[in-house]
Amino acid sequence: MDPKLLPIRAMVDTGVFIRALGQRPDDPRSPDCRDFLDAMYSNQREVLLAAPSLAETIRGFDPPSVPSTAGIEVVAFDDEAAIALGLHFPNSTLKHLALANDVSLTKSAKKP
Amino acid sequence: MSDKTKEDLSRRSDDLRLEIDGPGVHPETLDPLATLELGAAYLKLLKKIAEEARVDLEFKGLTVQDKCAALQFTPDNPARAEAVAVEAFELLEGGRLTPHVLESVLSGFRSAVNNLPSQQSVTVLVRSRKLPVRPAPVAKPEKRVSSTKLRAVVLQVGGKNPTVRFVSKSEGERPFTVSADKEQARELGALLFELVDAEVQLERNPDGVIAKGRLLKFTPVSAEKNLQAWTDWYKAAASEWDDVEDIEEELGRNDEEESRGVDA
Repeated sequence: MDPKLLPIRAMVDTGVFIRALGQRPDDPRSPDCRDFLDAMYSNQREVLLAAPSLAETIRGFDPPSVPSTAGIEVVAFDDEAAIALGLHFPNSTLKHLALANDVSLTKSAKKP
Repeated sequence: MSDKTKEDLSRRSDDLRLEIDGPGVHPETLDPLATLELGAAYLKLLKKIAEEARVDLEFKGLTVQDKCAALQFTPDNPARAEAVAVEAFELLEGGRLTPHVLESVLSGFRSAVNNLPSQQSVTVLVRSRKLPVRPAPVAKPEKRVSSTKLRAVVLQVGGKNPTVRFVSKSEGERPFTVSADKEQARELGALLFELVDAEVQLERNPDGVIAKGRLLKFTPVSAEKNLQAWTDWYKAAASEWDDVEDIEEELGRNDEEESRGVDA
């Protein structure tokens, strides 16, 4: 991936995270997700993972401690985050943006 | 009584009036700019409420009545005007959470009310309703207490009752100080200017700035050169996902889209 096109900081969704770390040879989107995470890491960019995404990823009753490594930061969904999202990105705004850009609110691919 | 008179009376009773009351208030003594701004702000509020409810509401005409002083407007749908005015009243009373899209027009109307001379009061009269516009309550700033996790650089450690000073991108690079116990202070002393993931209990001021806090625990951030630590974690904590064919289906993303009416 061209480092010039990489963002300084990116928050990844659960699906991207799972595809980047997992072994999913039949998933056509996995290589891109892995390449993206590798590129962000090797170019000292920041990857953010929201705590709810971490919750969605974890399967099992006794997971090991989440790594604290430079490059990937689990960010809390606390009251400050909730207020910021509610103020600046109410659902009506997100829907409007999704419609204007012909994308789904939750799927990464463009609608056909 | 002629038909025209009956029609005039009927129309007037369906009109919406914004009444300004107070000592010496008459049409001749009104501040024209403040009054017109008040009327405009109120109509904008009503129209925005109607727009969000996806109903049409139009007003025609403007008369100034010599009843103290009242701005009078004729709605195209009196029943609808009444319903919208009642909703505006409930929002102004603060009994309902204000939708984001209405904050600006609500604030604009409140400002217009505040711009009137202090002894003047405003009442909305619509059909049989009398809806007083009360001055906006002065909100008592409340402290916000929460626990969270922040990635931060250790700037300073010390004090008889130990404190730690951090700086974090999550806080807009504003340094903040939290209390710590002696053991934590000793360990953090060896991590000056290093990154840690700090779990903290915080008190924020009404602007969201950290006022004070307490360090609960912390983990040094390791400067790994690759994703191995996360890959190993995934194998132990989440590898069941490798057997899931449709991740988004499993996460229920498609269900959310259907319920929201977003076309996938």
